[in-house]
Amino acid sequence: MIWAKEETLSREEIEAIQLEKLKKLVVRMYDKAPYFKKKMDDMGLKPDCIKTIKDIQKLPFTTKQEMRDNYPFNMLMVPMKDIVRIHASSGTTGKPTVVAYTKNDLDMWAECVARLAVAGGATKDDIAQICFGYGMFTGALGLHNGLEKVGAAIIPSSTGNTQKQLLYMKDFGSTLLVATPSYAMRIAEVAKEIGIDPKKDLKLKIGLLGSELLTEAMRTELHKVYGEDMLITQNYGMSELIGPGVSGECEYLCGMHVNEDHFLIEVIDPVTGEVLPEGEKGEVVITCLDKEALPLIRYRTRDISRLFYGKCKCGRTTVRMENLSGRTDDMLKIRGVNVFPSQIEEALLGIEGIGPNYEIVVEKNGSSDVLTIRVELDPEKMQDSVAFIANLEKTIKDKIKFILGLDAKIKIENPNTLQRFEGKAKRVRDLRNA
Amino acid sequence: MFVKQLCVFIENKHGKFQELTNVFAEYGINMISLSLSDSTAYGVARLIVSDTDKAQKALAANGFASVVNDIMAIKLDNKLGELNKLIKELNEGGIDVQYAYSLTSGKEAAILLKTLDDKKAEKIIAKNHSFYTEEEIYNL
Repeated sequence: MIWAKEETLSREEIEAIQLEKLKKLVVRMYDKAPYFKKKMDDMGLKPDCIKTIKDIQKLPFTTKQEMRDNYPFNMLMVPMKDIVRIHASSGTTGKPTVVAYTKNDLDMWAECVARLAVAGGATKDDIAQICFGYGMFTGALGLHNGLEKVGAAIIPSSTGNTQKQLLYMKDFGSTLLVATPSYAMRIAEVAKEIGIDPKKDLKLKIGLLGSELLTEAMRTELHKVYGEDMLITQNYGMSELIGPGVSGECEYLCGMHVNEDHFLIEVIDPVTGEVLPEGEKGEVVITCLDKEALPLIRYRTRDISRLFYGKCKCGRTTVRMENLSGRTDDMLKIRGVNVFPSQIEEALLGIEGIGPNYEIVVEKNGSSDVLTIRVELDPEKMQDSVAFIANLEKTIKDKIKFILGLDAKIKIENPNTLQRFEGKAKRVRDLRNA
Repeated sequence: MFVKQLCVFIENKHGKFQELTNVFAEYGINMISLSLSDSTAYGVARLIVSDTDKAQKALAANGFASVVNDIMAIKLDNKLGELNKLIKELNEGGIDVQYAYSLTSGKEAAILLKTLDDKKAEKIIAKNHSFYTEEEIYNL
């Protein structure tokens, strides 16, 4: 099913909408956002420089640093009396990033999430359990309002107390799960511990996952525990842009459909800033075309992906962004090699004998970087000989070497040793500057 | 004839072995025989215990990975040359030993033996030796 007619417009129609919105946006921001006006003036640009949709490439980028510099409310374009909601990012790498919404922004947000939820299989018949942490984080309320708009019955169970979560899931017959991929995995793990088989004892048939990258390897692992018929999709967004709602996968799992009438997406070369053609990998840059409280022009997401404009089998014509290859923020440079944690995940998952949890530790030994990967032994695959463990260690080591070209120390540990996560997983410890 | 052997994964880390013995102490499980192999990073403890099922559940609840398998427990007279005879018979029968550990209690002795072909080994051994049953070995 397709939720909105905006998802099936022709390229000309989409671009016409985008151009009209962009023109208005640039005028409004030049007028009301001093930080933006200054950048325009410095570049010798006037708001009327936008004649065609390609002219967006003339406009300056916006960075996360600017949002921090304008903490908390200096970037808002409307007075506080028009603001009805405030959210903030966790701020693990500095001051939190604050975002705010008008009534219209919230409506647009719910509309965007509704489209992605429907693309991921949601209907009004679903009982949707939202296992995202409710609070300042945009994920939970974003999915909540979107699914409410679709008409699903919402169980706002949040995170924590996983056994209780499973009780709701089983007794209420939840059909749709909203969680991070790592929490979805954790829920399945706890289910097993208390004797619930997610395939038989739960009614889940849809997983709308987000807020951290879902690798294909992780999707395969999740299918193993939740069953092959569960439709597991991921959706994309970030608090700066709106929260979840920017893009999401449909049942064909061939990239995430972007809500283009609200978000104009480009992919750039992160070094030169130049826009890359369709199909080329680079940094995703997004313009929020019609947010009232906090529109952003050419926001540098630091996420790496590429775009495909071809029509999807689902009938949507909106551009698809490939599932992220990684976030530039997450990239590790180890002995001169660029390493994305997602590559390590892809290497580890699927190896027989270890569980789905892992931790990547990078340390300094003299002038050299040491990469250690901690994994847990799968108790069901235990054997009676040390040789088995040694072989397992070698298998992992060889696979990492093959994928990254790096030697890693592998530490196989007891089950349940590594930390578990209910929200975004933190699987990397970089101790080199500690 | 086989008895149940419990194999437990142990990281080669300070305190890990005591964590294991602690689980047995806490849950009232008696270790009848134990063999602990060593390697740089990991070890596998092989044990004959008084209640294998209970032990395995207790271990799982305490974060240990373990597996239960069958092993031959062969009766030996506790005197010089007995084990040598047994191994010689196996050698002549073309059987290679994978690992072994022993158990003695007063005059009674047993060798716990894993070979690369237990079925064939069992037939060879049965000609001149007898095996402990599970019940017998738990009461040693």
